[in-house]
Amino acid sequence: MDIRSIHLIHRTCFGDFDHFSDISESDLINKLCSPKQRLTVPVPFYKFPINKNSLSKKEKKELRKDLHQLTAQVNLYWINTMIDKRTNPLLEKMTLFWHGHFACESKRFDFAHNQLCIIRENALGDFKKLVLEIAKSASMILYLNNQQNRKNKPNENFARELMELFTLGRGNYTEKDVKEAARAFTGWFTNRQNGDFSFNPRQHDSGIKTFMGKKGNFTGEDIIEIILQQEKCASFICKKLYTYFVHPKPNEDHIGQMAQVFLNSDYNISSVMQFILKADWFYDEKNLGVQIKSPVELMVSLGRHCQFNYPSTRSILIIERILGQILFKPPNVAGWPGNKRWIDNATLIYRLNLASIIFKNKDQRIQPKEVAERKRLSPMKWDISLDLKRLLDSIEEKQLEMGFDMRFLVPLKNERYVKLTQQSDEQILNEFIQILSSIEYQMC
Amino acid sequence: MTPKKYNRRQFLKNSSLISAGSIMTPLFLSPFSHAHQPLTSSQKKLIIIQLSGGNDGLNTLIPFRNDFYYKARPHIGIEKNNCLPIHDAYGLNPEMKGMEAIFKEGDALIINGVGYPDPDLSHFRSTDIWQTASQSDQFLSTGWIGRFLDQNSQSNHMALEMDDTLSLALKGHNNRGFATSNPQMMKRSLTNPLIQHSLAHHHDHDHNENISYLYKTLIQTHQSADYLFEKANVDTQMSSFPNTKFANNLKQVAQFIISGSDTQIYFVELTGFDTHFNQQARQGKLLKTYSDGVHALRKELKRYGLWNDTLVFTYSEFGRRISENGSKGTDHGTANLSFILGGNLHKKGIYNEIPSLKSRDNNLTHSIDFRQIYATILDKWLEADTQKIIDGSFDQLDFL
Repeated sequence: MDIRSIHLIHRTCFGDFDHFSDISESDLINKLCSPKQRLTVPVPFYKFPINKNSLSKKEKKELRKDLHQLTAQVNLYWINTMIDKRTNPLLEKMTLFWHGHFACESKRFDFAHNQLCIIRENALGDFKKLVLEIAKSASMILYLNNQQNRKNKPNENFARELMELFTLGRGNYTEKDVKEAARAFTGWFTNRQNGDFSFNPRQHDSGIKTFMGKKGNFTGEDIIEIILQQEKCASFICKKLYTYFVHPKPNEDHIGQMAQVFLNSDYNISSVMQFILKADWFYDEKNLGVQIKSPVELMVSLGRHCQFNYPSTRSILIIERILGQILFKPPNVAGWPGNKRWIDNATLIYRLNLASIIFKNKDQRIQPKEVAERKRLSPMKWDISLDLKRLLDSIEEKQLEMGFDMRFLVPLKNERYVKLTQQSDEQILNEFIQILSSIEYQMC
Repeated sequence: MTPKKYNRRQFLKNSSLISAGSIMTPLFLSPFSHAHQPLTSSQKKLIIIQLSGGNDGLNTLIPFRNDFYYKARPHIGIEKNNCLPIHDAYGLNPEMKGMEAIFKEGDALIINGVGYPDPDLSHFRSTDIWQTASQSDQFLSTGWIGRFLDQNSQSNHMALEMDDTLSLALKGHNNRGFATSNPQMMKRSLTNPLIQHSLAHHHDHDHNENISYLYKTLIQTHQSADYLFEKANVDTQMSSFPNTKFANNLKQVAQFIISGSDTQIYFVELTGFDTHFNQQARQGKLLKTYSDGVHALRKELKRYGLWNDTLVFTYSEFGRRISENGSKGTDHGTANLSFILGGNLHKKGIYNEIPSLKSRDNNLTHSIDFRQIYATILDKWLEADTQKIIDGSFDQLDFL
């Protein structure tokens, strides 16, 4: 396998080489960019109390605890779905990308799950549809206070973040645009019980608005339409895709090319991703192995490489909290800052010890901070064994002879091979853990 | 190994020279010219203590002359006779004998009514607001100490958090503080062969800034762990500290200060203050832990003549409601008191009055913005450029 494919797979597939070994590069790219999803993230069943107001204080506390636990459950299901070999890894990675982009937090696990479904369904599809459906989702309406956005009493929170963080970026709209857009989104509500979107014409300001140089009695849909007509929107999104999928330092020329493709395809995400992955510059040497895996990407690549599922909500929450990326709980509406910001002395050492923690049940002492609790969690007992036989079975015959190429695990030039025939299982196991604990393994 | 300060910019320039063989060479520890950056007055130490969970300020400093206080707290109000007298209108929680002693010696100050506009009553959010020094509706991804480090960092452990993980407060744009709950344990975790392997097999990744950054962080972590371990083993014979985890952390801090560590800022947390029910015993126990801990800290630093160069600043992410709730506890509130301890305070005792308890929403209205305290400490104590660290302009207080 050549260095191009290796780079491609590390960058788009969490480093998972399975299924892709006998396919041409361009077929692989087309397959990865296909927006069709083959699996959905399961949702736990929960019987909500019919009337929340009639609950006692204790019952309310129980409810909060249940909801908290159920959100963790969805978090776990999602991580294990990303690991599932039947899913399209690029679609999973795009979903994770948009989850950080449309950063949102909800007390209701079902609303959070619903938003996740919207994202997964459109992650490689139509960006316009994605923005619109997110804007109408219960968790976003509640998170950015559109529920409080009423005729004559506008709340600008959603309108502002829509432009600043979701579509245009700072400096590409005016304060007046924010005010006028907020008026257009008045009357967009969600049903707090079931999360259904509703439009209330009586709370909607149907007056004439002036927005981005246009005049009309715009609705929320119109505002999104007008925003997407701005070329700045395409470049803003492409810049973010570039810094995530290509190189943390933006290259304006390449981003310009991407934005053109994005606009020409009427904001088709799959088209722009195909363009990136087929561009020669994507494979430039300076782009190889330059991205720091986010904590979730690290967990997923471990899961995919070693073929295991995370066993419990506790197991993922400990790692996510210590490493600083809790799904459904971004630090704020701007999402995770990412890149070097994932790394400090504590997170780096924990990352390097993670494989020993999971497979050898070592060093369980480190625990995340508890803000309001009196006691920290007791250490977790991991019971995951690295299934060497299964792992070796997945490696082709000819690799067995020449040894397992380390590049399958890390995206960087490396001369090391794990000799698979002349070593004991224990030695091979230790060799694998060594690779999974390397600094290079933190990269993709 | 003698620690010497090195200049960060120089360090970065030289970090491209890192290779496997040079890990333990004195390259990183050798002195560089300080032409670009003036040294801050690093003899002055700052210890920040965060009382997590929302400490109930009104049962920490009791306004025993105020009838409203007793009316609002029929079950948990603390009688005047039980308060420790430090002022003619206010007394300390009876468990804070250590703090009382510090007051009597004139080394303590309480600032009342500290908060910020539009207070947020969520632990997480309010902690972030305090740690990032943001407005209530502003979301910052860097902490105030982290931004101080961005301006002034001279070593990887210039700001040290006594915990396994690093708080947002200590994360800057380009610099971070260092987290360790135990240098010995950290050193041991670094002797893990897997990590030693990474230290020894630094491949040539010079073109790749991010991977170089990870290697650099690992090497610096290794150096700092060695450095702190060495400092932790200097014989200091401290016997004053009680046997609590918190006091043990403070003892560790005192150890670093006494042994001449170049760390300037220490961050220590005491958690468990979220007292929604049966508050009295629990809060009393925590306040005793806090007060006995800082009392021992002062005693030891004084013994070594270092107390006058130390400032201890204590806060909680919010205070609690004025009235007690139905389960002999208190719910999340707003403005709260802060403690300032040190040997050279310009103001001592009680800085200002507790805000009025006659409040419509059962909450105290803040009279001092917490960023005024930050600005004062940054400017007067750390001699930093406050404007580059705190967004907005805040009048300084005159306790330093």
